Amino acid sequence: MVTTPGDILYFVAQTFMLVYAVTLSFGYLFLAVLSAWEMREHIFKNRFIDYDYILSSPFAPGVSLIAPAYNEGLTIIDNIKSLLSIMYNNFEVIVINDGSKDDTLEKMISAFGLVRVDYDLRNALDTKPVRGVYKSTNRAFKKLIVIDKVNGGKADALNVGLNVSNKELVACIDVDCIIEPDALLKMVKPFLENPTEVIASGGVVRIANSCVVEEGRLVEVRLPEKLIARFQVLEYIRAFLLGRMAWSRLNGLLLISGAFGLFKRDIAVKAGGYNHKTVGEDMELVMKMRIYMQEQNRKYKVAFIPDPLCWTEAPAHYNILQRQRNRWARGTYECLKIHRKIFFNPKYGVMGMVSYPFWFFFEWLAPIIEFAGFLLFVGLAIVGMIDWMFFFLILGSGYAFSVFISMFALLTEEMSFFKYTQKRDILKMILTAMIEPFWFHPRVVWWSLQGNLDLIKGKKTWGEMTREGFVQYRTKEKIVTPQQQVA
Amino acid sequence: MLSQCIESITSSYFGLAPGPFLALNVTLVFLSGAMILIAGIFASRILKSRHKKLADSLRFQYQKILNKIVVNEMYSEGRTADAAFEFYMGELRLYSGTSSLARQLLLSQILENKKNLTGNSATVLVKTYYALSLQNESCKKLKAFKWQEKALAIREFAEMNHAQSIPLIEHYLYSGKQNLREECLMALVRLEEKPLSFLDHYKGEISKWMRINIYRFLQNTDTRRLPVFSRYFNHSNLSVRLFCISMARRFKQSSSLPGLLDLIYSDNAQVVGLAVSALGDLDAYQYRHEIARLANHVWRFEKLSRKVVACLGKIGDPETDVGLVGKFLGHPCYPVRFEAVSALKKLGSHGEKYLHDFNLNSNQNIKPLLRHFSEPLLN
Amino acid sequence: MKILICDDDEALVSMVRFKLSRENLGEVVKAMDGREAKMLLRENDFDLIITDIHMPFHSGLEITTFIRQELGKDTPIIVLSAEGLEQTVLEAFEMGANDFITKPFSPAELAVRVRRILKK
Repeated sequence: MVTTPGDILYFVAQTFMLVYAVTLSFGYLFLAVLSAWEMREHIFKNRFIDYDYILSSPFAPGVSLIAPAYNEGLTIIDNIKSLLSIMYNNFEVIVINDGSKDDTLEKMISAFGLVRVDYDLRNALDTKPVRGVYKSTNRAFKKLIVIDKVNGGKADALNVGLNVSNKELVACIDVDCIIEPDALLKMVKPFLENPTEVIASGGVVRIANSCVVEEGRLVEVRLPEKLIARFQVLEYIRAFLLGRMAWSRLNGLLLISGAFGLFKRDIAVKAGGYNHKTVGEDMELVMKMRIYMQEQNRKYKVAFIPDPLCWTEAPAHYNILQRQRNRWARGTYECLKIHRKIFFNPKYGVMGMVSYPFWFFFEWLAPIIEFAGFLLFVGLAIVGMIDWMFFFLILGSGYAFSVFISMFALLTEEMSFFKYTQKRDILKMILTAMIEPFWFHPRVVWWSLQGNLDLIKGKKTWGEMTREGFVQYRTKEKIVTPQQQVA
Repeated sequence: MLSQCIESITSSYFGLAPGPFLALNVTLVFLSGAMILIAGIFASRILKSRHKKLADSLRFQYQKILNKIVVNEMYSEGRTADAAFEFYMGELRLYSGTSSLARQLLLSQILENKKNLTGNSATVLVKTYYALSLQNESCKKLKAFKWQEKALAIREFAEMNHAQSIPLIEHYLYSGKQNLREECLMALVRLEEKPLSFLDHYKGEISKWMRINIYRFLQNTDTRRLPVFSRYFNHSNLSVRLFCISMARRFKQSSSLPGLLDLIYSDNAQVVGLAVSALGDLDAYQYRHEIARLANHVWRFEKLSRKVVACLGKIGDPETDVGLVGKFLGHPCYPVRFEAVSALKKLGSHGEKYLHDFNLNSNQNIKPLLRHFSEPLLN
Repeated sequence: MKILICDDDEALVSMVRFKLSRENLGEVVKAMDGREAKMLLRENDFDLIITDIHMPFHSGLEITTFIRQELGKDTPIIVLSAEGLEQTVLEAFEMGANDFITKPFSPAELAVRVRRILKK
């Protein structure tokens, strides 16, 4: 039988695709099982911990909550008030106005009675100029520091926060996220455990769309009404509960969400602070801190808390979501590129030998290979070389695996934190999981690809992320959405 | 094309080529797996809500009776109180029956109430625990296979002052499971006749988390019963040493002062640092010369420099030690310079004068620091 | 007499309500979190408020400030909290609390203090 180069190419391509898919699936399956097991252990352990003891202890480490703000005039006051009411004793809230074009700063000055103070900026990290530091004359807000600076982006603003803070730990958050009152207590605990030094802890971000929020606090959890937000709920549950939990156990966690992470301040500064040249600054900092510890030959851990501690508004329109995913793809690549020296480098332990390769092959490369597979399919279909039955069965097995993992995630959520208590919510989520592989996943792949293409074109910006206000705000007795408020 | 496909699938199963056969199997396995998980989700929900209903109703009944038990203690008039107590025990026995779940719920409700109470109210709850033979439930759990059950049992013994359980639980001090070690440690702290005597031979770690838990408990006890922590200052276990230094500091044990002084000559930087901070907090003015001497040797170490300077700010002599503290204004590390300014501010007019002169004469710019310290809203 | 107790610990709320009613100190209304507390405070007049510090939505200190500043009332407030840090106690008094009891506490002692405050 004569084998043409075309046949060989076809065989190689097909085998590669299959091997890739199988390895990816086993990888996800392993992470899912490990995560579920760790989750179980975590829930049991939680029953024995009285976090309030940290609250009233003089041994509790100091925490600075650093929240960059840009054009947040609409909700900044409520957000800050809810941050100030977080259950912790030795903490301060540092809000950095990153050169907002709206009335964010004026609103803060007025609402909190702020006055300029002569604060000695340590400038351990280089940043854009700071125009002023403000403190409140009202004792009720003595934990608040507001910094006004020239616009420089989120990473730059966070670095100013790192400069200003003099506490042991810093929590870097998004100011519009809703932080649970006991979040700091839970996130601080890993830092109190011996003997391995914990350098960072990450929390879970949950979707706040359609949830009822009052005065910056979450009052009632509801499943989002819009399908696009529900897809993201599913994604987040999968990623956080079935992914990061396992990575943390393997001590290979590379990513702590920029919406809520707690770090040891001196190590973050020694590692160089946030990198303002990448849009994936949250992942880049964790990698940098890990590399720093590795190079110092110091044992360390990056912890992960699966409890829902932070709620954020997910993009509710496809074009905004597209910008976000575009940015994530670029951020992932930039981080991988900056730290490529650790790729399969045994000097960097689990991070170099397992985490980085996994991120490279199965997080960054996956959309590219999927798209390549799609192109291959189209090409083969044109020349009539498709074994249709095999094709549909392969597609079916992929779909079945995807649905299986989603159900696993939903079961883990059900048996752990159980946030969606309405019966119909669980049915909606199951249906969402069934539609996702057709309706949502291809778009995510496409957007990631676009992100990579934009990288080649040299795109560096965050893009505009307009606040849509799909979180319901209840003021007094009426339920009012921000659009109505503005009107 | 589609009908061909369907035909092949519906035809003999074993007629499939290996590739498609495998793919079909994989599909079926994961689809059935998904369906099992869906069933699991619904089953979990149903079981949870059933359990919650039962638990809530039992807890409500228990709480009604426990309220009466806790409050009636106020009206103790001899026999009447005993008879009432027996009556309530009977009621609790009735509600809990022989069901293990019901008895465990009762136990946990008693514990939940006890942690809020002191005095007679707490004592009567302990009496309830023994009257209902709930210590047998705890013993049963201690023998269970799951670590969660064991840990819960240890906690129950600790809360209910069941000192007889010490021999049963003390080997968990070195268990492989962190939670068991921690529960056992706390139980020994609470139950031992002679407080903290287990430290004599303790070889394990005392983490900051355990320090927080132990301190919280000790704060609520009679501090006169605490050991003199300096007896552990030469313990072979570094963790124990550090723990005891921090306890001596927090409880302001002046009897530990001589021991603390010896520790500043230790070769372990952590020990030295903690001892120095403790001496500062205990207002050990009599030892300021030794601290001043130490200050001459710690320049290279940022953390230690900060602690020594902070200590001198508290106990240093305003006339003789100002110059020494002032040297640290030229330290390469910012936090040390910050601490030095803070310390000089605490050393009264001598410190202020030194700062003023330094600002004028030195080429080092400490103006931003001085302005920072003059801000009332920042200090 | 109408007393409001704000605490998210159900067992404690149940026990305090029982104790105070046995002492004939009045009707005791409960609020399980800061939101409920604010709502009840707006709609009712209470003779005494007993509040924990750490509760969902609004802390006891926020409730104290709310009563003193927003509602402008001088209703006596007893803070009943597990947090005994000196700084917290001082803050509570600064915000307008009349008494501070740390948990664990004696229900008998609480009743005596309540009686004394209500007499005033």
